Amino acid sequence: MESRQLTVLYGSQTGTAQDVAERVAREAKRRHFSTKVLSMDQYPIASLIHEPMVIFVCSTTGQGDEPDNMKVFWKFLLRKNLPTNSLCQLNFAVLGLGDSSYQKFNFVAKKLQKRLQQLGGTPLHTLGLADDQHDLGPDAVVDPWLNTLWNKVLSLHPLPSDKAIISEHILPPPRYKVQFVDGDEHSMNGLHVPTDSNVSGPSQDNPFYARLVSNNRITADDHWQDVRLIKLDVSGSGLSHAAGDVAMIQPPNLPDEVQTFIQLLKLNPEDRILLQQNDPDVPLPPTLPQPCSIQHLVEQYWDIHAVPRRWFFTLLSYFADNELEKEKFQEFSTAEGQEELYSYCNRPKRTTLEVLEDFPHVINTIPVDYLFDLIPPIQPRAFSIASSLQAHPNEVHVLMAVVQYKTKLFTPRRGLCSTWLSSLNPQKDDVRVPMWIRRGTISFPRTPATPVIMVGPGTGLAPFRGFIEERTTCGIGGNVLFFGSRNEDKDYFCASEWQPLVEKGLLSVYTAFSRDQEEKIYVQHRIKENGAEIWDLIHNQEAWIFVAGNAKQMPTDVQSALQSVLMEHGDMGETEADRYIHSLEHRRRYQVEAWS
Amino acid sequence: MDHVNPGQSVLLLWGGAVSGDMIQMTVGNLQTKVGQKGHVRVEHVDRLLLSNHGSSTFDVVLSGTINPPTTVHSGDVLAEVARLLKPCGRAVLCEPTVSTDNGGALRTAAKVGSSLKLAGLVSVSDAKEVSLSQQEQDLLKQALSVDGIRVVEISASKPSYEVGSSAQLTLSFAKKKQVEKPKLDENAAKIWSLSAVDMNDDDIDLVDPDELLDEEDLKKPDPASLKAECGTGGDTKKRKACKNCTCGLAEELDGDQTEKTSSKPATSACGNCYLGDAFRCASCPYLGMPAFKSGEKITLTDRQLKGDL
Repeated sequence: MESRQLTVLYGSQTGTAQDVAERVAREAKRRHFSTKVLSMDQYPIASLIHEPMVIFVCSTTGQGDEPDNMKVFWKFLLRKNLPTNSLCQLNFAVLGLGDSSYQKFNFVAKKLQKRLQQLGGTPLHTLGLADDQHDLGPDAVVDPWLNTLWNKVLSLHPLPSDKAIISEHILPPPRYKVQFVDGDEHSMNGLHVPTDSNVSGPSQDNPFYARLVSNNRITADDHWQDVRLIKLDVSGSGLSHAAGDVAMIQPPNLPDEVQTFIQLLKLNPEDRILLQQNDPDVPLPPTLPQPCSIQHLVEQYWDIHAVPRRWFFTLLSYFADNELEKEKFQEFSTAEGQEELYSYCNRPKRTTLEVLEDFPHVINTIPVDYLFDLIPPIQPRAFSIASSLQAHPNEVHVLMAVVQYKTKLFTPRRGLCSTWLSSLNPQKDDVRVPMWIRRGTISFPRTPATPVIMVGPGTGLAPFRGFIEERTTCGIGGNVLFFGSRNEDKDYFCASEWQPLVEKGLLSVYTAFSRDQEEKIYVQHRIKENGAEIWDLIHNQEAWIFVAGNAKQMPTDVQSALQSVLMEHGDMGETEADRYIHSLEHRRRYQVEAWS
Repeated sequence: MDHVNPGQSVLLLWGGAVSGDMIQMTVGNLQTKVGQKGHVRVEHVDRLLLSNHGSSTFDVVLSGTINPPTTVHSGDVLAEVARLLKPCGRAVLCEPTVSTDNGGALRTAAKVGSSLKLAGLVSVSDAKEVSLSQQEQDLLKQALSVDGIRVVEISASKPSYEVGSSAQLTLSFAKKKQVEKPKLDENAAKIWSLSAVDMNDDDIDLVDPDELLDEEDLKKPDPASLKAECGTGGDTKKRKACKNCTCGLAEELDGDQTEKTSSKPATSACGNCYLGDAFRCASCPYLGMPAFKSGEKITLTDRQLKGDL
């Protein structure tokens, strides 16, 4: 019996690649392939050598970088010790999502394709390079690429004689079977008991409920941005972390949105449901209690705050009975309709709840079991840990800006996690924050003699506060911090903490406050001003350089500043300086952690 | 030694019965030959596949050139050599051979030549006999337990065009309907499982990802290929009139002049405002507000009435 097995692995930063990956999986299922879809990092990589067929979907983000949820996978694939015949069993195809207005167009997909071939994999199809710059967007490439892919796949694995391709106009079965249960049956409410609790410590499937110690605002009250220093108590969790590590926080939905959703869909929050698998390749959600109340689902599980994707509208088109609404949903499902969908949904960041409020007819016809297909689970948020266990044992600190901004929508946009966390009052209630820890992608040097230059404007300061605490608590110096923000008296975070360290000679701080004077001064200006010292640190003292923060241009600007320092003080030409930085990068002596 | 020139990048493969001193001496000679600008790498031939050097990095690959050579070069090793060579690079192999095929471990010189061709190399030279000292002969006989061994030297080049990845050999399978996949190498499987245990180790040696890309990869798509065929997009993106527009926008978009461009109606002009942003026209005063019931009183604030002009 020939195996009709296909795995779709994605690397997605904003969810677009994930969306495409799920589309590939649906098309595979319609062709009677047993299909799994997961992010590359979720996939147990040692199993790759046994896979018969894998379709990779990956976008290129930032400075030509791979998305966060494929970083570990990719790093593994790059290991020199992997034999070149490792993937001799594998047939694969790679579909890349990118934007050709960037120099490093689809670099991630291109590199992945090459590496898979180096490791002995067989490409089923040419590399797909979807481009945002095309008039019709990525679909202009994705649609024909998939067509050809399926032709090739089916010629290798023809359909059984009694089966045909299932039409895309037929509503697919829901991912779970939903059964309402009566009152007191299976009374197992509350927190889910995990199957192998504490074997490997807190994780996404088994978070630790940390007590919120404080969430004090560290920007001036009259400053436009509300930034908090959040302190969590992790005693008893078994969690430990090192500088550079990341705290993953799982937020619930906002109370007002929970109310609106329940009323809008006319749900009874007390109702309880039992979930059963409807697809062997789609496991039950590991963190849901069984049975589960509607209240719990709306509060903790369904991401009603997220911006819905294309498939959401396609599904709604199956349920819609109002002519106008149905037409609109169908329009949003076509390649030509993507631009309007983007303008309606993505650009203004319209939430799922807001979309449902805009279509008052279809909400009466959505079957409850399809809610799991329409609305994905709430995603955890990652924060660089801003403290060291050396200075604050049993605590995890997080530096968090409350996300709030305006789009063309009347109601301002709110960040789910930051709005929730900032609303909590630890003095009044015993508040618990579900969290776990993930290893960071920053690695700090382990030798105390190595000086470290840290460029961390704004919340980029977070991992550096942790590292500075770690070192200075043990009396290790050689720490140089470049910090930038808008005003010294409004958002100079942790200023008072640096003072004693500077006096002890363990830390040097260079600040740039962009709005404190007529002309804008940023960290890159300070870097150039102190070029001689930086050159000495890098060239003569083997210093490591780190850049962290939330800004589109900042990492590029800082790198340019470094380049000019090398050219001026190291007497190098432009190409030479560029190569020097590249070689520092290669040896992990120059690391950039930029988040969007 | 006469295959090596100054400034070149050379890979020296050795195996079996060769002494450490001999290797050192050979490397020293090679290093002198290539000079400051070149460099020499040494590898045990059995470890070659595991080392995973970058593609097209060597000008010359020498294997078995240190006497006495005992290695029979497998197809995998030769393919790897082909991959590691730069286009037009040269491989020089010395291998112990027998005069007739007797089913044993050693093969004829002709077979060696053809296996080089199978690996994708061209300009395969004639086999040249390598003369060994009596001592070397004895060592060889002892190591391989075979009589009548003749060591031959054969050289071959990598074609001047880049044939692409090392998957070239396997692509030919894709044409068959039922793909017969090679058996999974036990060794490879072991390495993967062991490595996977150690996912977070920072000190593992990694291939440089930038080296994976070649000239072709750095190219961007032709801008002409990015145009939609029927002219959708462009001007029509930004402003859209409702299906049954009564506020004048449809005419305006169609090129007609209208005098009332400055005043914005505070009440629904086209009758579609209550439907929500997905149905509203570009001049709708309710843009950004949720859908409401037709006839429901919605008060617009001053800010909204002013619009975004």
